[in-house]
Amino acid sequence: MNAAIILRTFLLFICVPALCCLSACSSQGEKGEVVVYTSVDDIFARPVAERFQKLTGIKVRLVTDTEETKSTGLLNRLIAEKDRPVADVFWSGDPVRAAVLKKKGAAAPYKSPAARGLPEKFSDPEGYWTSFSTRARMLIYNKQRVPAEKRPASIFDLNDQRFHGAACIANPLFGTTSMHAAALFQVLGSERAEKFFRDFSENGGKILASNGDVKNSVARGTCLAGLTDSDDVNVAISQGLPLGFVFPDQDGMGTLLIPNCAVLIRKAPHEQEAKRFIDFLLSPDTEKLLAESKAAQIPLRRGIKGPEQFPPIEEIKTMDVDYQELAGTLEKIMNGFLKEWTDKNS
Amino acid sequence: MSLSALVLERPGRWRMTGLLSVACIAFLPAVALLHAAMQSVSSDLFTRLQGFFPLLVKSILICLSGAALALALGLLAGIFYTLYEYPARKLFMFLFFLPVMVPPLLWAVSMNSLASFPGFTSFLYSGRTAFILITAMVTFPLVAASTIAACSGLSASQCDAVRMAQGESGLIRLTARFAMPPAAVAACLGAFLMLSSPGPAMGLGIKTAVSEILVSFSALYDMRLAALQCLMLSGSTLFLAILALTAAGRRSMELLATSSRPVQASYHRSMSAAAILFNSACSLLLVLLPLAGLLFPALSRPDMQAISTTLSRTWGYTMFYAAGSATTATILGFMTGFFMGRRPDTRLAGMVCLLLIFSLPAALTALGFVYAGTRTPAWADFIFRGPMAVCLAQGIHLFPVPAVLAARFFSQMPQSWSFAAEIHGISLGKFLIRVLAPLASVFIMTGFLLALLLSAADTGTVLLIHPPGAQNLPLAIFTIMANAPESLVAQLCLLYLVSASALFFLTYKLWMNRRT
Amino acid sequence: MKGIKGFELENVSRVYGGKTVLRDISCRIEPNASWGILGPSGSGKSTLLRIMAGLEPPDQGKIFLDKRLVSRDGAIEVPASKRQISMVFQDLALWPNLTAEENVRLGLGKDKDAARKAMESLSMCSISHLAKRYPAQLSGGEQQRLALARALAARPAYLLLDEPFSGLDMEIKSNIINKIKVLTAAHKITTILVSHDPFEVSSLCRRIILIDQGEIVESGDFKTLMQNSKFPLLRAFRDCLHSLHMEIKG
Repeated sequence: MNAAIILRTFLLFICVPALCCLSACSSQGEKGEVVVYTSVDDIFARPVAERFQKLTGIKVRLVTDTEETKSTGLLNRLIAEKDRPVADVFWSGDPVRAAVLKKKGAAAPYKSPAARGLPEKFSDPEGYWTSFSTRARMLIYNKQRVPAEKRPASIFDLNDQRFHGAACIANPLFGTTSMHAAALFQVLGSERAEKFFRDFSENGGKILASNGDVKNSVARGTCLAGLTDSDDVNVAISQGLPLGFVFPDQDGMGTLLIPNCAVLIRKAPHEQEAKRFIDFLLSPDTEKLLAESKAAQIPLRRGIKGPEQFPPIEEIKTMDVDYQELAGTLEKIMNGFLKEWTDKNS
Repeated sequence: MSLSALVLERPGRWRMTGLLSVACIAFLPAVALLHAAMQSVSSDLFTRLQGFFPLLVKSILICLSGAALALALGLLAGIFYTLYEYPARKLFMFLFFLPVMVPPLLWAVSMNSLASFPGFTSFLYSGRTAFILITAMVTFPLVAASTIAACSGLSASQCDAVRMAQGESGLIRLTARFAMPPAAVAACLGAFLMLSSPGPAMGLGIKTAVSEILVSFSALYDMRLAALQCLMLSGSTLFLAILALTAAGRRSMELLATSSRPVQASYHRSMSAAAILFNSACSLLLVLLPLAGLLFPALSRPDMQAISTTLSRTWGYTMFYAAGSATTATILGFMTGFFMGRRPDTRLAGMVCLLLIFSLPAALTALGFVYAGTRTPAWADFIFRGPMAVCLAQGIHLFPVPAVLAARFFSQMPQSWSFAAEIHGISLGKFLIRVLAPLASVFIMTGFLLALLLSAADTGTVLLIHPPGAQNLPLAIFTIMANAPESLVAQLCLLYLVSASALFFLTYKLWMNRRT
Repeated sequence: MKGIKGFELENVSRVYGGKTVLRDISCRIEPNASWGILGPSGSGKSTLLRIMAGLEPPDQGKIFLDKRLVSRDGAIEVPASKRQISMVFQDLALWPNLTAEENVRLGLGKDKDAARKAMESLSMCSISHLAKRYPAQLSGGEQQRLALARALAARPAYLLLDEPFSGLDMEIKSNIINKIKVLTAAHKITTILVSHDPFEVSSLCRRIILIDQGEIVESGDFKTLMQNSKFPLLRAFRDCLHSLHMEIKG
């Protein structure tokens, strides 16, 4: 019996850590690979990475995150690693995180030749981040409980009496909702933006944990209308949930677009491969791929066929946002009104 | 020259030095990060901290409510398991362990879906009640396991004596008193685990201290504010821990079982029936209903390709991380227990240290590893940047669990064993291998299994420090759950639960299901 | 180096948490005899035995064993394993995960003949047929014999017994005491028994040290002390014997 115990102890305390060490050694940096951190959802990012790997033979090591689950985030990991980074590329789901990386000194400028045809207003003029395919912030409503003529057309409709106690948004301190809030402050000005949020809470609007919860809550009928992202909407519709969607404020300030961004990491261990990956991300092929995927991303380039359920970008009235300044605006309201409002109402 | 077995009974500075060394290993990553963050603290930070304190108090109260519920139920479940035979005894115990195997965030998802049904579930499984229930679900098995492990030190004759004098209720009271100190510590550990785990609060949409730290950290990118908030969280935990341990210390004089005849579970008509009723109610409330909310969507047709690619990508790392973290936690835990020994001062110091470590948000240790990884030479990457980093960081966060069991073992061990070893010239090494290790194996394996389950279900640490391309299954579920079909997420959860259960069973069969 | 063989204690004191457990103990325990240390519970006799064994150091004072200084002022100079002593503990200290044979064999260290010696010792104590059983599978008396077998297997010069008979019935107790008498006489082992029971001491020991509240009250030949001592334990025992019309034989 004692021999058996010694054997088991050996297995437990020697072999397991040894295997870990072995695996650690085998996972050290290889040539012909690129390490990509992305805040884009795994199910959307992975097929793109696999396609790049297939086309170029360069192995993609992907680290995914999701804004939905409010993890402490890859962004903090990137910032912490900035003196000796592991990542080569950060594929951001929105321009704010990309701008934060630039501000924290973790990004390097790279003006990709593949960016030709992409509108410049969505990208950093110095080349620290370049935008491609976009999501849109959308109004959703429960089709079974809200008749078509009463559906919301503007985000201000969420504060209307007909959605009293039945409108919802995700926590505005996180993800795309926080970016939306910053955009409203930029476009409407502080006074009108603050009024919008105050009216929302006075009308009994609910703050939910995530965009996914907004989608589920509206689909179940717990809420009647809400704000979420176009990829959530597409997934919900493909699942057969009774949701209708609207590009908000087409007669007013327009719809907020949230483009993806490619960022080259400063001191990237595999710089050449990283640049090739960024070139691939910014190519028309990737825009097409993302349009066809369940993410239903709208191509920023004109002339590329977008997702069938959404109109092409040229037909959408977009919100006139200064994407370079958005991170700064967000930082200001996060430490001021938005934080206080969220604390008070959640 | 070999060390004497008498070392085990000797007081001395080496115990405190040993404890300090373990504490240094555990705190160093977090402290290094906090130090870096605190380099330039401005005065406005303190005004911003004012709102944090009431939130902290509220969070502690909520977590302690969950822990108290878990303590009441888990202690009784552990006692029933130790003293009585009843049908499906082991199955119930296995069921109670299921909640630990799932990342707490997923329970929040499950509760949200249960809350959408009308009736009592909507009340029970939403908001703060849901958070208290999740805390209780995660803490319950920790308490039950600690109770069972502690009760292995009860002798059958002690039980018979009480049974004759005071009947079954007296026996339950005695056993509860006997197992209370480690069970209460386990409950505190569970509470602190939840206090430092942001997922469930965020998932349920309620504000807690750690979700506020997350806001400072992830949304405001304000490391200094987050660092101060972390310090406040840890400081309050430390205060509570010292308070609780001082109160418990007076009552925790161990009854050292001098008989080598351990207590045996026996059939007792009314108590066995009560045990079944109690276990059924607990499993329904804390396991089966939440499980149904999580797994209900799994009933639809599976997407075999998505499942198989996810599994093939992640199963190896899932095993590595879980086993490696549990091993690290067990080694550190038993070292701590060894250093704590049976002296009240070292035990108190050790316990405070353990609770403090557990109360540090896991993300802080993980980011400490990232921070250290950028400041150490490339040859150290296998420690800070490989899969080993995940094992070490999780092990460091979770080692208080095996340490509590180890402390119990070392304080419960009769002094005369080491005296006899010394008289016969048996060296410390030989005594440890031949006598103590086999006797501690139940404690070691209970600690190992608990750490294994907790680490396998952890996503926060893995997310922050896993090497690129080396995801484990819970993290894969975590990162796809926002937009993947609900059925795929549920099916992966189901597969994960089945595999974790299989691993649990295998380990149990290999190590614990034997009698000496 | 001191002049006599056996134990010689000089002004030994021991303090636990501010409480003096032993105060200025000085005595001589000569070899080739059986000694009893008798005293009420909490009198410090077990502590004294552990200090003599080298399991804990005296806070003050010196201990000589066979003319060698073995412990002094807070230090153990010669470890227990090098003192040619064995000990049977009050709780027997049998290692529950080892069989009877393993319990004895582990105590013999790297001795090549360990297996043979272990079996021999078990036979001496009449439990060789229980060699493969675990302590939990033995009766109280059998466990006692096993503890004795383990202690005797190493052929010690001194056998220290720390209240090992408590909890045994009279018949088993007598049997074991007789066994110890025979075996220690045969192997010329000096026995030192610590007990609070004058019956046990009278059955095994010729010379006794009476200890109370950490101090030696009296010492000397058991029979002489039985007649003259005012030590409460001995007086009670004497009264008991008188009422039964019995007396201690030399």
